[in-house]
Amino acid sequence: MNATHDVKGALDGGTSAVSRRQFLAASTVAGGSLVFAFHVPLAGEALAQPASAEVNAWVVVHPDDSVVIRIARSEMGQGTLTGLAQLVAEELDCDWSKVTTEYPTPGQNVARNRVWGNFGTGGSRGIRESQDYVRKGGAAARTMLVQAAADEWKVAASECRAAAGVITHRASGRSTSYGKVAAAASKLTPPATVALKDPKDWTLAGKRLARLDTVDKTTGRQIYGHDLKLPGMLNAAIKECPVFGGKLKSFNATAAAGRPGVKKVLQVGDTAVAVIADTWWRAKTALDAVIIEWDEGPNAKASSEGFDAILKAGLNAPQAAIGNQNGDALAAIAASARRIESVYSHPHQNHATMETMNATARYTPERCEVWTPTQNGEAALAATSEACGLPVAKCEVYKLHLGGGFGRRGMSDYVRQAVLLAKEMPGTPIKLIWSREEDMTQGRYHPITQCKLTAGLDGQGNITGLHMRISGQSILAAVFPQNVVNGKDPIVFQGLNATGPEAGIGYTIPNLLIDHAMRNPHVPPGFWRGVNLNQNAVYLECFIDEVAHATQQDPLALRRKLMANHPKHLAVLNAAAERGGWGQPAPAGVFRGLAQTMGYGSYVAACAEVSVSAQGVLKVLRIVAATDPGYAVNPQQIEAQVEGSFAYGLSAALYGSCTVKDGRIEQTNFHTYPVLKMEDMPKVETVLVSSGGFWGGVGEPTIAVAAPAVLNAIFAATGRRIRDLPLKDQNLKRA
Amino acid sequence: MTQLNVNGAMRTFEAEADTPLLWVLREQLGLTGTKYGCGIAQCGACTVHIDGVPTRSCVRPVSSVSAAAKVVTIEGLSADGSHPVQKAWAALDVPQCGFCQSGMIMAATALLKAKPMPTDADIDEAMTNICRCGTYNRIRAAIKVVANGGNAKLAGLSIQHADRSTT
Amino acid sequence: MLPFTAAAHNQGPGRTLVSLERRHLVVVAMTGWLACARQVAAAPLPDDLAAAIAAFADGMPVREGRVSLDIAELVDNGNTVPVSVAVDSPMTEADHVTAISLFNERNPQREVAHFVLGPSAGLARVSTRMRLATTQRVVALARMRDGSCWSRTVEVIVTLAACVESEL
Repeated sequence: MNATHDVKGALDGGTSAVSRRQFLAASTVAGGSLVFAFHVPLAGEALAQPASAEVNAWVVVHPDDSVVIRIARSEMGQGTLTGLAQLVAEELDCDWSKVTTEYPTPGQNVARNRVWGNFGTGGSRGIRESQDYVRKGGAAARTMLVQAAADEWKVAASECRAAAGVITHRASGRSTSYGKVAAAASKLTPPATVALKDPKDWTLAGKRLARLDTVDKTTGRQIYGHDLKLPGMLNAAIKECPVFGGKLKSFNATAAAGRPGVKKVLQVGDTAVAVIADTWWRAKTALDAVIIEWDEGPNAKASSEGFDAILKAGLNAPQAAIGNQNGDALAAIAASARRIESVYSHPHQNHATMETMNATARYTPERCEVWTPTQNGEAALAATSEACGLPVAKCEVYKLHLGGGFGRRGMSDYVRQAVLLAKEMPGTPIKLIWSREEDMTQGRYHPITQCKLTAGLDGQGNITGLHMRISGQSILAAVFPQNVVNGKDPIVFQGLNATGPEAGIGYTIPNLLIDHAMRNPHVPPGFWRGVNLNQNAVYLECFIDEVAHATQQDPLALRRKLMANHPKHLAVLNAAAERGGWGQPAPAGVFRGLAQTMGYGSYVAACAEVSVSAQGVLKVLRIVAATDPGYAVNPQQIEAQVEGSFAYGLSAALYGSCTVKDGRIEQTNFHTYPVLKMEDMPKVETVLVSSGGFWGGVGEPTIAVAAPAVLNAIFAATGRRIRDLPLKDQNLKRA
Repeated sequence: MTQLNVNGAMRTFEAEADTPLLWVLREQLGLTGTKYGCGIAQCGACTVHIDGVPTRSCVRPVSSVSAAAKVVTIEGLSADGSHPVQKAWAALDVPQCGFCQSGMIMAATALLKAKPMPTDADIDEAMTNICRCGTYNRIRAAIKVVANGGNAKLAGLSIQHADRSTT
Repeated sequence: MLPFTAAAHNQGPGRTLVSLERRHLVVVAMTGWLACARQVAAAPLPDDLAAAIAAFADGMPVREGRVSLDIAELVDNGNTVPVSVAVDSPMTEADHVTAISLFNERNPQREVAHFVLGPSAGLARVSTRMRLATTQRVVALARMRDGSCWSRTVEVIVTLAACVESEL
């Protein structure tokens, strides 16, 4: 099938080649198999084509045997789309080469009583939260298809079997294909229960399959929110008050309004100014010409220095919410022969997705539609309804492919902005794109924290008590205050919890106290890949390393002693250490560091190798990662995620820092917010320790061990203990 | 009205002289494969070829590109993804979110034209594009695959494709 | 549909209402029948919710009808969700609503708000904002002067940030 991508001008007065038809981008892969990329749905069209049969909500079968698998979660590069399709296809027993995918819309989900469940994609949950019901969906569809064939042949379904989309009746040798029986199958009553395959029998799931969405990303055909074209569409640029909590005071549009292509210069809500023009470039440059006066509000003088002082004070505050405790840590520490105490810090950081925030909205009093990359389609739909005032039934959101998410696109702030703009020009689609500067300064930042760790030691180098006091920002207090109960934000303690399948500490410490003094600067926080696991792993893993060195113990040996009751944590640590060569001599000038943690249901560990020159220049050479996510749906994509999350975490550790001066974020683009590039990227080896029996996440957990493994290696290399990030601001010369 | 030679065709458009080439390509000419990532030539998502030279089009005023210059965008590399660099990228499942990959592929193509057997240091020096998903190691491997005649198995990733090939 | 304007401020002791901006009512009917697509099928209520409703009803049977409950069916953030309740009643001395109560299914506590009304209220219409911990049913109850009780139940989907699903 030829791509129907419009390569003519987008500005030919609404008669563009992309009219109100399905906009289907497809391409062929070598070998002739057909792989569909996402189609960009336009107003009023139904899901799938008229001749297809929806066997159940998860599976649509076309007469030509091609299968459309419905995917509820959002693909943002993490491979969840392909992984979920593998799980459905595994149970469906269809021909994998004939599989395509589509996103049901959140409006359809609401209208159909949430038949596709939760759309939210984050917390490394895409596969692990939905695997059970999507697999059942595939199994149910297969059962119905086989039953339809059996009914046609008037035989028992138990005498038929399905494989690769073909149903055969052994005794008579008759066969048919899914496409031929799909219509009949769709009329059958779904089975009340279905049996799922044992993972050891998997033939598609668990395999190193190529992703379904690769080819269009190599040809420029993949459409992102930035690229959307709709008939009659206009473009918008926006500026929100750069001081969080401030408002718009006034603006002078004289220089902007007369510029070519400019349609409107307008206020948006209380806090922003936007320009709508025929092209985005014209909108953006016109906006730059608007003279804006801000009422900077109560936070106009906030600064990083101020935050530092407040957070530091929290380290010794008498009141704190307890996340994990056993025994009496304070008493044990007070009574101990020896004490070690260190203070660490972790800055604000930006997600910096490659594609800046964007949404396209079209409003009429009868209907409001939004096209946007989002990690949470239902939240975006709710936000659309709230912003335009129309009930949910009159709204719709079409999910587009994300140019990165990392947590930032779980928020719907830019959706609301686009809807407010669209309300100003009913009937006209308005595509709102944030400039990189807007994206850098209107983030939802990795929260800022400090941590004081105090350990009591006995004469044999054992930890008698450990107090870990975290001081700093709570994401939930800003975003979901209803979930802060009795002053405690539970997710502050990711990786440090006493027990549980999600994010538990891997050490047994006789007297332990982990508590949090909440201190919230005005900078809006958000969920940033890894969330609080990132700094918690730095704090604990670097401090355990400090204890090891202070007591002349090997960092691995000390950990092993403390992890006797945590076999899964220990298994990945041992795997990483062994593959990393821990205990074997390293090449000259190369030094190693270890770290382990648990988060998002998975156990992860890393062994990093670094060199540090005499001038203090760091080179991260190699990281070995071990991860146990329980089941592994696509091992080659797990490897890609491990590499990718190391790149993301290492980038943050090396360079990532958003500072505040005069109430505003200082870093406005990649020149002042540098990120990891090819030359910084170490070799990464992944050891997949799939112990089975549970479903752990993959998109995030390994990110958290990158920084502490590197920091521990830096100590080994230089004797200098780095306790503050980012590394670019630290002196790494030999101590 | 102005003219540019883009992907082998003369294209006519209207835009202010200081409009960056990137935005003329994307908006006046409708070629959205070239991406906006930063607008200040820091990220490389906007990389195109002008007479074979890899160029960050977000800071290149369109008025500075003559109609005689040959501009090639990602769409112009091949009609169907068959350029060796594109094929290597697909064979190794390089892209994650994919947003940076148009620029990466344009940069890699130019590198391989200038240095058909690039060393790691050559790759470090030429490939300064940003990828937030962290696909750098597969990019490096894919470049080496192309340098070695397209043998994707060299990367050792053992990826099973829908057509039953493994690379 | 009646446009919904500022909420009536009732005269109950110690109760304050937050007035809403203009919203649709889902439906208002002059008689007992309310046509609404969101009328929730009668899945059994959890015991504690049933008990709270029974306590409000004080022995009287609770019937569906006469009460309209206006709340978004899909909510982005359950922190502060506007909700309003209206009851079909002439609000005369002889025939008026004496109390309106809001209950929920899955918050830490069942009772959300309780409003005391009388004929001087003029209209049986209250509004407030409530927290919703997660997707759940919300039940509005009205007691009439004659002791009879009427109710309306609506399901609200609360989108949760996937990043915190398991912690909550």
